[in-house]
Amino acid sequence: MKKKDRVIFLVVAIIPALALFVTFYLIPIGSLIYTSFFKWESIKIGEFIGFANYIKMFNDPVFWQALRNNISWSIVAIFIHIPMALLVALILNSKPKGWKIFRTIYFLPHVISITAFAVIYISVFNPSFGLLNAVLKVLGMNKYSNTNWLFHSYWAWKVIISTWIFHVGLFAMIFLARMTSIPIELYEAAKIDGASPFKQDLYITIPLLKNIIGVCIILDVTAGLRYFEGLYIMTNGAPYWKTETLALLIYQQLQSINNSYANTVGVTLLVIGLLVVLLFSKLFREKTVVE
Amino acid sequence: MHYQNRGITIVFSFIKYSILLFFVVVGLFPALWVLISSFKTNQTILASALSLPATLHWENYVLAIQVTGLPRAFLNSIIVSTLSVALNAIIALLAAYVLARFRFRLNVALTIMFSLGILIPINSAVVPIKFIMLKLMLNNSLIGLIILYTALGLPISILILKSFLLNIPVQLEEAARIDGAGYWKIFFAVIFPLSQGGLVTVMILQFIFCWNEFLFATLLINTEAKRTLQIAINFFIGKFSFDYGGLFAAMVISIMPAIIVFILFQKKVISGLTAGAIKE
Repeated sequence: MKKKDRVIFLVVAIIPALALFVTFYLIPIGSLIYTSFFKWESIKIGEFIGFANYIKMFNDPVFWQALRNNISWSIVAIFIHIPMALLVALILNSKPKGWKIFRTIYFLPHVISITAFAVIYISVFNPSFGLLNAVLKVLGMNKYSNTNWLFHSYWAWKVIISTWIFHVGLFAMIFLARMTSIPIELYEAAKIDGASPFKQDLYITIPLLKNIIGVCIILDVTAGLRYFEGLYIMTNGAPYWKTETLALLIYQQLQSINNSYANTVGVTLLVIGLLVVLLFSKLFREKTVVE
Repeated sequence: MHYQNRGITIVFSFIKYSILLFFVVVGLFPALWVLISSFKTNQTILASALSLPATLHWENYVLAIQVTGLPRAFLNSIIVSTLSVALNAIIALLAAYVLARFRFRLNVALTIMFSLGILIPINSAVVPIKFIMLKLMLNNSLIGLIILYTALGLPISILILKSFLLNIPVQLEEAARIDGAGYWKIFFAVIFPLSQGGLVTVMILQFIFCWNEFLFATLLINTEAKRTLQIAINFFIGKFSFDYGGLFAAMVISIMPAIIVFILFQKKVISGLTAGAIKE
């Protein structure tokens, strides 16, 4: 009797979560992979065409441009965004006056929607009344102050990167949370040995953060792979696919009812996402704890 | 921190504050500029981007509320977010409890499966999800959005709650069991009240996710009356094509709730978002 109660509770409690997960994760992913081998350009799914969609993708210059942009985004995330967040966290960890106010301000952008930021940045980069050109005029840089930044074939992608690269609050807070859990004795020992604060950061704090740096890199790069609405609203890939990404390409192909091609790019995005997780969790795996 | 030389100390703190201020300016100046500009007339916005408003022009705000259907979108967002937050929390807590406390054959497999749910970019599957929603008659419906958001947020909510529950001593449940309480009684009378801390974290994360979600909302909603705030924002640009004062005012109104929630629950939001991130 008691055993029956247990089984009933267990099944009833897990079923809602399981049903939702199967419906909105497992079935979509399964059907994504399956339909990428079919022709599907209307409501009804067509015939099996093997790897034809993948061959089409590898011959599509827009796909390669999108992939290049995703890679450039990831490189910036790893080598500029995360290090800047780490720098800010190290400074805040030394608890300078007013550090709590800085913490609040840095975190604000992470609760504002990307959609809202997209509209804000459309206005900031507007060629006639935008903030950027107004500032450039004040600085006397008249050569640049009439640029249509978001639709300029050289600047567009750089400008897109600039819309998120200075928002370091979330990762700085993650680093900061880990730093406060480092035992104070380690620093006291170093101080007795005469290590400067700079050396303490370099030889104690940063090595102990190795694992969490890996986590942040995974989060930042996969967030880049997911990033959609900002680009969709600001440029939708213009000019000439200079700001195209895989997430954007999937949505555009869906809109032009190339369902199976959208899914083929989707499978590619999925595989890249999993590879990123595997690679960086391996690279940054914590070895034995340093004493 | 003791520096030998006072001069070096001053130089160091100058560099520190310069770096800190740099990120304040580049990170927040654009949003501040929009806030200030929202009180200017359209002519002054177009004529001089850096000027301050001579007087506060509230008419932009009146216009924003009247023209955009903003109140409706606001209401839709609140309905979708709150219901999805509640649904997500209760479903996730039930599942997390089972995974944290019961030994059965599929336990490890299920945990791994939910963890994978956090890692995969689900936006790769927009086409299948669109068709599933059509099949389930959930396309273009707020109920559909509520269910989808609940599902998409489940993996992270389950993992956060599971690790929270693992830190609650089992003795309390055992005491209740000896007193003759059944499984459901234990769940609602013991586990539910004890998980408040974890639930708050999960609910904040889910609220921010729902409030800011754009891709699936724009994929699934196609009538104006059902637009959530984020899709409405996208249409503001067209509606105010030459009235930037109105556009800026609409932006300020749409950003405010998230900022107010953040200011009120600052500690919980920061610890929630960072904890949520690390769980991934």
